[in-house]
Amino acid sequence: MRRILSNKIFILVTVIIILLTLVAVSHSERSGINIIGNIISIPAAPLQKAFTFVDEKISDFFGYFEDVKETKKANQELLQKVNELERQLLDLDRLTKENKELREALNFKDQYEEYEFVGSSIIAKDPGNWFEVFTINRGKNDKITTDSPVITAYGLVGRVSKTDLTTSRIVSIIDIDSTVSARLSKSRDLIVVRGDVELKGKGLCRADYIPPNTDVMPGDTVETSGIGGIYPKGIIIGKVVSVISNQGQYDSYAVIEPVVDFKRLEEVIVLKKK
Amino acid sequence: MRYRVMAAVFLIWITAFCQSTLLEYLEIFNVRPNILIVLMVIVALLRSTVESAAMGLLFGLTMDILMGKTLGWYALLFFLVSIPISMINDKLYREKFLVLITFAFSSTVLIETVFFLIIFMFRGYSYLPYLFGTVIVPEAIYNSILILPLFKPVSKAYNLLDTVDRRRNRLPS
Repeated sequence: MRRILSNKIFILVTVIIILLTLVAVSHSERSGINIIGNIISIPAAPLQKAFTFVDEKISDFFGYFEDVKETKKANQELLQKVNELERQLLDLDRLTKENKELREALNFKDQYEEYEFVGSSIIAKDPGNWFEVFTINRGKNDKITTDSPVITAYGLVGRVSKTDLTTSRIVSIIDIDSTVSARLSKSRDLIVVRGDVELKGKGLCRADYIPPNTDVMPGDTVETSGIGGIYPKGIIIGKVVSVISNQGQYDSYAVIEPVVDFKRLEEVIVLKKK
Repeated sequence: MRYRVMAAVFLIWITAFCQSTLLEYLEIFNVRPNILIVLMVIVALLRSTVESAAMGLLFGLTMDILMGKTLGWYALLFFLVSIPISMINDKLYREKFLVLITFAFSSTVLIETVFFLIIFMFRGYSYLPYLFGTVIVPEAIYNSILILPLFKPVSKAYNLLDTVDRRRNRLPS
């Protein structure tokens, strides 16, 4: 009896040690041990994709009737906008030519020329209540690598944190593990945008390390600075919602509303290095 | 034994799928229930210590994998919580609602609070009172409700597996 009991304790302690070792080894996002994620992700991915497909179809069906009414109204507004946009297009055409000439003259590099755009669908969301991560339907088979930036047409979404064979995990910019070196578009001051436990539920994040006497106002745009080597320069992150000033030199922070609506996000673009 | 392993794999797989997709639609105030904790409690209330500990570990590991962060914390917590429950399960009126609710609630509070302490406190966050009220307790209430409709089907599935096992081994029922 005593022997059995000691054996059970031995097994218990062994399992605890193994799990703590797993914690230590898997702590790095690039750890090889993370390959065991494939056990769940590979068989679950087809079902998750099927679920996402069915979900989209059902939403499309119920949205159709509402869309007809809204389309009529939107059509009126769009016709008015077309006239305005045609005028702006002429201006844009001229500015594009000017911009191209100036870039050539200054030998500027296109920020995206070293990336390939890989369109992906979100097939699963964060299973718990602590983080803001999600799963996309592209993985190592599509040559996606960790730390690849993830964007939408509107702005920055986050980065790839883990890759399995057919899926990848994305850490969004509102996740507590996310830190992005950013710049205030107006004043060009460097700041750090990071996820916040309290704000993430509202789909917001915060900007820290705002230098004293910085001219930062609600409505100011925040973009990536290009520093840090993960995100290319100039991707729009969001807008300043409010500024909380404290007495310390770097104690002030700003609440940022990302341009990406994380609750309704369905498709993303992964920037894969060429 | 083979059926039992297949059933366990299926249960874990379907739970993982539900947790990462369907349960998103059950979110209230940005809080979703944790079906993995609920099933860990159910298994611990129904099965032997060894089986409960193994299933607890696998449910926890599944949660770790789905989250895509450090592997092992949830596995360790699920494993450690399932053992004491399974050790006293034969002394409990397992089908009583109050027993189910108590274990689902206390297990969720314990697991999520310790997880918070491990993950957040080391990083200098001090939001425990805020998150206790806005995340941990709502999730525990949610899980306590979810355990009620899930207990009977899982219990019946295990009874069915036991019957199959007894028939295959020609044991009296």
